[in-house]
Amino acid sequence: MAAPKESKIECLLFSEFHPTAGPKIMYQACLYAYVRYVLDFPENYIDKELFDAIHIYIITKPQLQGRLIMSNAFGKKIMGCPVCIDHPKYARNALIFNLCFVFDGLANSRPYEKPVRKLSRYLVSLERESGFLSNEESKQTLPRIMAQILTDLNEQGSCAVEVNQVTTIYLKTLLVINNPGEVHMYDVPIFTVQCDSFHSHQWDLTTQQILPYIDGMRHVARISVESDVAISLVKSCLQNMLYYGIIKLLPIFQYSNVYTVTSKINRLAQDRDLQNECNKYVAKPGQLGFPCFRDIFMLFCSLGPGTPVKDWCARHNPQQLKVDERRLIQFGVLHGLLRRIHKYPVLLTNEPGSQNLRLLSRWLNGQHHYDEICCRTGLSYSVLDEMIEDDPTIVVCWK
Amino acid sequence: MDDQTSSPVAIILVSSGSRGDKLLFRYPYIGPQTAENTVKKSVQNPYAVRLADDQQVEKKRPGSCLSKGHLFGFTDDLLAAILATKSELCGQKFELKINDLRFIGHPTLMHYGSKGQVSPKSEGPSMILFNIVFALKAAASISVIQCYHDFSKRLAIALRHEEHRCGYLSHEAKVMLGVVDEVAALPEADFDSQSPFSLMLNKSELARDLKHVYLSLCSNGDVRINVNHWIEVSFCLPHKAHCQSRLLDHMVIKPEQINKCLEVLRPYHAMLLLDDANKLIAELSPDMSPALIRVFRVTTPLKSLRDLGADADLTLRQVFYLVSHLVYWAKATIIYPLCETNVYVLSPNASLQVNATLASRFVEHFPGMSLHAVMEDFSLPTQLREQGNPLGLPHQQVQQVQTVVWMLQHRLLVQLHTYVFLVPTSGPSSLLIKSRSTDTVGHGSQEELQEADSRRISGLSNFSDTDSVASEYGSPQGSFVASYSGLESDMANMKAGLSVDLDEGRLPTRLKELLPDELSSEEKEAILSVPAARSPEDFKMFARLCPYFQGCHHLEEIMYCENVRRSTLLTLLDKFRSVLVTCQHEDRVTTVFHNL
Repeated sequence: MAAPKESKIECLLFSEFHPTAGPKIMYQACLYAYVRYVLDFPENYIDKELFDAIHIYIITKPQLQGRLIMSNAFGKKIMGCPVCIDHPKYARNALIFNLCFVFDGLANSRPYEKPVRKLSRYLVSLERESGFLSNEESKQTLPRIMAQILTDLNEQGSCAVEVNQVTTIYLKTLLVINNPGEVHMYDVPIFTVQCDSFHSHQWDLTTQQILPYIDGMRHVARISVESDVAISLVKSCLQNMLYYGIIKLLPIFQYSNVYTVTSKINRLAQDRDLQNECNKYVAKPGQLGFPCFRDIFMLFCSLGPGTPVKDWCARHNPQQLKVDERRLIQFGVLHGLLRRIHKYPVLLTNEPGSQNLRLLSRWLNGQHHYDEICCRTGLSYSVLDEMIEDDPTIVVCWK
Repeated sequence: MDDQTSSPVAIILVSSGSRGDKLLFRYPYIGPQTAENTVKKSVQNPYAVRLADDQQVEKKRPGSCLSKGHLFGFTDDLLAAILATKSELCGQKFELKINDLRFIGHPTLMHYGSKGQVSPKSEGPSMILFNIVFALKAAASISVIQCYHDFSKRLAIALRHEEHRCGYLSHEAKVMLGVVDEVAALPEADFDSQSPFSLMLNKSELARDLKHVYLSLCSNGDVRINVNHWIEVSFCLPHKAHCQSRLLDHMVIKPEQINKCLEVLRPYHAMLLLDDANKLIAELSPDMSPALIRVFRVTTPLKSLRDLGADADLTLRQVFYLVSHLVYWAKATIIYPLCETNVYVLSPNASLQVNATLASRFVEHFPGMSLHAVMEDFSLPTQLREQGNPLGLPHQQVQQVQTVVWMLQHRLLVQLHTYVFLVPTSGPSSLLIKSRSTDTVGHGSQEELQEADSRRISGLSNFSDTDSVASEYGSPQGSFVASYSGLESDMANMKAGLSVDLDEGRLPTRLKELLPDELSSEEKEAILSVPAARSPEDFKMFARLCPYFQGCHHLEEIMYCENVRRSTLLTLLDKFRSVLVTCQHEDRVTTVFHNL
């Protein structure tokens, strides 16, 4: 996973606390892979003026050493992790340095936070073990290493730079992906990629065990029972796959479900690729020819609040239009053209009338919808519906 | 999660001057464990034994800079050193991220560099620059950071102005530093218990203001202070303001979303105040625009922005500005004017929780009614005129409308609009397929619509709504009709021979030309084969409205732009239903405010 293009490293900057000159830029490796040995500050990426203004965030006070510090000034983001190695062998009894990554002021630097920290730890151990930075000769190789890190990270998103016989620097940028939502026991996982396009043997054993049960029909609780894996494990496996975008979650398909069309339906009307994809996806298997677009579009548009799938089927008879209603709804939900409308029973009084509902009352606070209640109590939709319809103290809201 | 990251961790005022970098004030000042540490560190006793261990401990702690939501491990000196920047960094955004903490500020030079003016009170220690810094959690989003920077800049400008006017900041800084010295001079036992910052709150007005800023940012994101009782600085953090006031904890509305909403603002929209108009007027600051009061006085949820402008005697542009402003500040929201044909349905984000504050507030407003019962009514899309009992007493009907308004204010309802797509043949419609150049009306910009609107106002200013509809065929409206009025005579000429042509099954080429060019000839023929197309009146009307049948314009917008009556439009859609597909969903404005 490479970092997004706009957040390229523009420069690698090595600075040191010089025993007599104070904070000082030692080397810079710029984006165009030329390296300058900086003695008298020729025109460089970070010039002396800028460095003087911000060096307190690069060669910092002792309290800030070892922390990841990013400063953003003059349109440049400079991120580094200042290091101090105390030892009597150094002038002033300490070696203070910082290898910073420099980005554009608007770039996203988050993928590089881990590499910056790791690189500083590499340098500390190199110095401790072989005096890499205090030895002038080995220090001369640093610009080459920096240049290679810069090019490799920018181009490949990872690098492996050999420093000496025993040490190789391995770095990798990490895309920060938002945490996936929670997986509920009533969700139905479905693959978004071809099942055989990833190597199933590389997944952990539990995931491998549940993989065959992911078919876009079975919900989490059922997968757990059929694959004989604890439900919490199934959920965490699915969450992991959700994180990598291999699966998406759907609601359970039932003919009592209600869906509504969203404003994204315009995409279907306008996007020819989506139309073709949709056409293939919703076609009823075993039929000659594909359904026509007008029928598909009409079927989508006629879904709305107050129309359960069974009524909709009775009215439009999708089977006759060569459309598999189940796949049509799956396609709609996957692409955000449709949204499920859930049914929430809310108990307004504290004591429900019938004995049966007393057991259910904890689910009737308006936070749980039918799918969830059915899943947790093992009741079927129709049984639950009957019980709730019978009780006048319960209101039912759809949203 | 986002909601938490939008609250500041601390507010810090630092200065740099002839006495070095100083931390003038920080709030909250008691980090539980560091309180003692802080006080001790603030004493600069040259004879004190520097404990190497102290620093060692801090250095070794690799983790968070936060402990229980407070700054941790930052002594006053350290903060002063890193936040009072070099003067080169002044006048621009200051951003510094340390582990999981982010400092945002706007360092400002006390004196405008170019003028070279020396401080009027040059005796005593002089201040070169100051910086008001907000400490945020590092995970704060870019738009939150931008807002805080903006606020820091505004405060800095106000403070600098007051400094130039009457030396306010120097005076306050003197008081603050005086307190620090005072506390330092206290006997040992006392100063452990006393933080200099709590004393500052008693003595310094600026300290109290900064505390107020911090507390308001934490609570509802809406700040208004008068620096030195003179300069008003106000600020709104939309991420918070929109959610807190409406009891919607789970929703975060970002400024970008609001801007998106304002882009699609149209003259036919209406503004719905989120609070009582009189209450809002009372909250206004003394030097606001008088136009705002006029708007507040005449606005009702029934009135479109165009009418609002007419009633408040403002141009449409001004009304748009004022409304945008009120929407940003979470004082108003955008709706389609209430009318009995509006269709509402329960918002997917509505909280159904029983015994929640929302439900009890509803009962306060409407005694004897239950919020959940009303929500049940709106579980299915409901027209305003269908809701409740049509035989009910007038005051009951009024109350029904009021409940709808209340629910709209609390974002419990969304309005559904009907969109029309032209799909004449079994294949995808070529009118709908996206190609930028064909988008003539597709995304008519605000200006275009406003222009069309002003034309209409000038043309029809003395018509009431019904009159204007009656005259719709004759009245030229903008470019559309202008082009058609020329065709009108052609049509009349054609009429005579037309019926013969149609009977013979040959299609008159002239008629075909009225349809948009994007349509293929096959599609045009499909449209012409609709029985209603035989009536030239209907066909002409259909051809005129064709560009709107791309699913981007709801019926109300078509009615507004083309000045058509709803019944006429519905009849037309019905006549041509075999080539059209309609669907209902919420419009773009609603999408923004309901995070759909």
